[in-house]
Amino acid sequence: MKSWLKHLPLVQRIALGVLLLILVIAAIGPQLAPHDYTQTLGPPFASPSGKYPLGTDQLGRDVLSRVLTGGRPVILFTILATLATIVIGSTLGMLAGLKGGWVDEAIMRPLDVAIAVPPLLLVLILVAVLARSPVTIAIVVAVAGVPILARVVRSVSLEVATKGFVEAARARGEGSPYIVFREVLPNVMNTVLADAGVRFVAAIYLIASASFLGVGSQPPAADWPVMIAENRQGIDIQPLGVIAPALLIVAFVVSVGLLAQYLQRGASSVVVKDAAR
Amino acid sequence: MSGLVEVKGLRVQADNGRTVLDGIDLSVEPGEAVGLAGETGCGKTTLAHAVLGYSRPGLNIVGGEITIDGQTVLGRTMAERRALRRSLVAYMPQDPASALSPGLRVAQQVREVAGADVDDRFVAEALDRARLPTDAAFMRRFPLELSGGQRQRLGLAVAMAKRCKLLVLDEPTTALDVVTRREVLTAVDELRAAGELTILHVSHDLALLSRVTDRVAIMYQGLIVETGGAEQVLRRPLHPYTRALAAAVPLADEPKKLIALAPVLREVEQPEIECVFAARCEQHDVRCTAAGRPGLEPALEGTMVRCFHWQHTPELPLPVRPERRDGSALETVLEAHDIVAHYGRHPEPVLHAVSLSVGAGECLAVVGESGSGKSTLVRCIVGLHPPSSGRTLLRGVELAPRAAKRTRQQRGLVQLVPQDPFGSLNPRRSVGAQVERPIRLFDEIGRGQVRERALELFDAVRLRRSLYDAMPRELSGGERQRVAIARALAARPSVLLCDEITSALDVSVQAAVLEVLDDLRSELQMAVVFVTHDLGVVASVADRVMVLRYGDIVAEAGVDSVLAAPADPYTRALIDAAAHRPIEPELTP
Repeated sequence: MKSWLKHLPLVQRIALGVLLLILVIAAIGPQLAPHDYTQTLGPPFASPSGKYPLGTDQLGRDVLSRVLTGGRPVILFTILATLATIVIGSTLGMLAGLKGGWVDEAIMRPLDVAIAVPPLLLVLILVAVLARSPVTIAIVVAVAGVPILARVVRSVSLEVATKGFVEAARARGEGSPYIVFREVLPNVMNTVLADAGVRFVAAIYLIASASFLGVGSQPPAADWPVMIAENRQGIDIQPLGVIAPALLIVAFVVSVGLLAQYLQRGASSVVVKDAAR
Repeated sequence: MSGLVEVKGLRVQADNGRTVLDGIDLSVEPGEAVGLAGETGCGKTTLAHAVLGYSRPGLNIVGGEITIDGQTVLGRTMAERRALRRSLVAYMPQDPASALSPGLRVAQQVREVAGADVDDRFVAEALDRARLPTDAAFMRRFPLELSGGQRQRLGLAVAMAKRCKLLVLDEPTTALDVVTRREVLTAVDELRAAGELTILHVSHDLALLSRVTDRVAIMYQGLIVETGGAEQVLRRPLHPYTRALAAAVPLADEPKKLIALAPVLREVEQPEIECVFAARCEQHDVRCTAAGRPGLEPALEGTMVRCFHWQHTPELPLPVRPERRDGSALETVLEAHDIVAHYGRHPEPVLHAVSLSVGAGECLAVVGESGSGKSTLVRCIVGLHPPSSGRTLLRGVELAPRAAKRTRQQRGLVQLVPQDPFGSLNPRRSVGAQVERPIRLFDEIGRGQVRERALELFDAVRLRRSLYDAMPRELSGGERQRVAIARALAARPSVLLCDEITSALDVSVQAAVLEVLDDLRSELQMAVVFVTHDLGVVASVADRVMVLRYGDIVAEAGVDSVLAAPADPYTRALIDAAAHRPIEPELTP
């Protein structure tokens, strides 16, 4: 683990630091909040002062407390949605690539349809059908990510499936679970991880967009994208109400993106190395 | 400086400081064909590239002189080197067909190199020199519309479009089947006969070089260890390394038991002053390890050898004819009857009613070119490709078409060793774990004994036990194939199906793998089906041979009778091509 950290380039080390910091804020931020994040404490859009270091929002609530509290939903649901995407998407992709034939068709054709629907439209439709809640959004994010990840994993699995070690495993009668998880998964893991980074960023983007449009977290809950939406009328008087949550989202996205890029580069260099041998 | 190519003291180093070429001297006379041979990693391709003034990224030419036709190559800018190459040399890479841009028509391919302004007659002459058709319709074709052999010859025609003086061939036929290979080499021979063409031919195939070149240089660890007349070096090698290589070369027209090259015998203590081969040499003494490196000194009949003791190198042992077992006297283990197989919905079958039978301890070779259906046949037998019709029987009991539908015991008894040494093992699991898995599946032994049994299998295929926890990438190609054999043996099979298991290996490594396989076959009385395209290997290991062409059996008989007197014309063409004899033109596809 330590040597792994030593090899990490400076930019990625900074990104890792920022990411950890944001995760800590999301985890213990609510305990650190100096004020009650739902209570009106002063005039709306008050400038920063000693008592309210980041000023107040459109209802006169403390921006710092709301920022400290508002990270949880975005981050938690992004992580959950991405995990769901990875587990479902890579399993489907590996099965499709390995089995081929009608199994491949049965898995991939419905996913092709799902890929054609713009995810934000999917959010708006599903929210109208199901409940207005972050859980719904997380489900939609997973639904939007699975087809893309499954496609990528399928194409890599197709190649792995023709390798001698997979053929040998099939010839000795190994079941699909063994072949998928023991023979194929370790060989597509790099691709899955690299693509997961991209899925993660897409998930934040979608969750934030949905919350900004008002179909995710509902007021008075503190939530970074909701805060941006609420405070944008006062941006010329009290810009911190928008800038603070926006900056945190951007920092989160960029740091994850940088780390994913590094993973992807590592993955491709491993592939190149194996191929060159 | 009389030679067309003069190389003096050439040194090439990798970025990490490793020496790749360690002072090469080579002179090629005008009109001469010189072969460069040696195992993977000996530096032969690096030398061929360096002659062109090029080094692969990561390698640097750090010293020495190279001249072509009296002009120095090194010490020039890249632009000047390009101009020099343009006027003097042609280069044909390992897969020349992939060097053809798929979007250019045949005539444009030639013009791309010769200049856009050359007329059709010039293009026709260039094509004709490579024995290609010269009609207008052919010139308008795209590379995809040509046969494999035609594409290779077009690559040659393009390389030779400008009448240059030096042709550098870098394993130009390694990826080709024997008939196409013969076709391309004949075209090269004719080009050479037609004009003052000098050839530098890089290949790992010593038998091939002995037939198409005048002189060969044998390389080992970045040094030329022996150079001399091509036949002479193969028949009476003077350097111990060359001798070991020659003993491992399978020849189709001269069946013999292959002798594997000795592994490293002892540690290298003083690399600067030791003979490079001393660590593997059976005839080394204190002079070889302490007196400084031997130089390349003249020996017999124009041969130069880098060895203090070349006088003591014994002649090649007389070829030991491999024993052939008589299949009819053996108990039949595996039978396949009238196997017909298709790919996808393609109406034309890959296999038309192919039947075979193998006895206990017998080795049946299945020979054919790419696309002959030989791999499909093996996949049908092992249950990976369900045939459209036909039956497979194991000791008289019919097997289900799919492996998944067979009993566990049946699956264990028929084992496959896959083709590619880089794909036959899972790159993410230790080799020991990969041998253990089938033991757990098929062998009724206690959990505690699994590792012990796996280690025994390591011994059986002559793998060091210390490699047990290694990952596949830490192993050489030959070691990987031995792990794949051990994994197949773990199930205690009575039939072993080997699909081109040595095609990607150097001859020396190939000999070692084949030796292991042969010993295990007699010891365990296994029936072996050995798929290959190399008739030399067939002559060395098989009892019986079956020749497949486009999914049909065209010949099947004992190896010696087929090789000596093939009844079928296609089989004769294969044998002639493998022995580098001219083949009847109507049989070239």
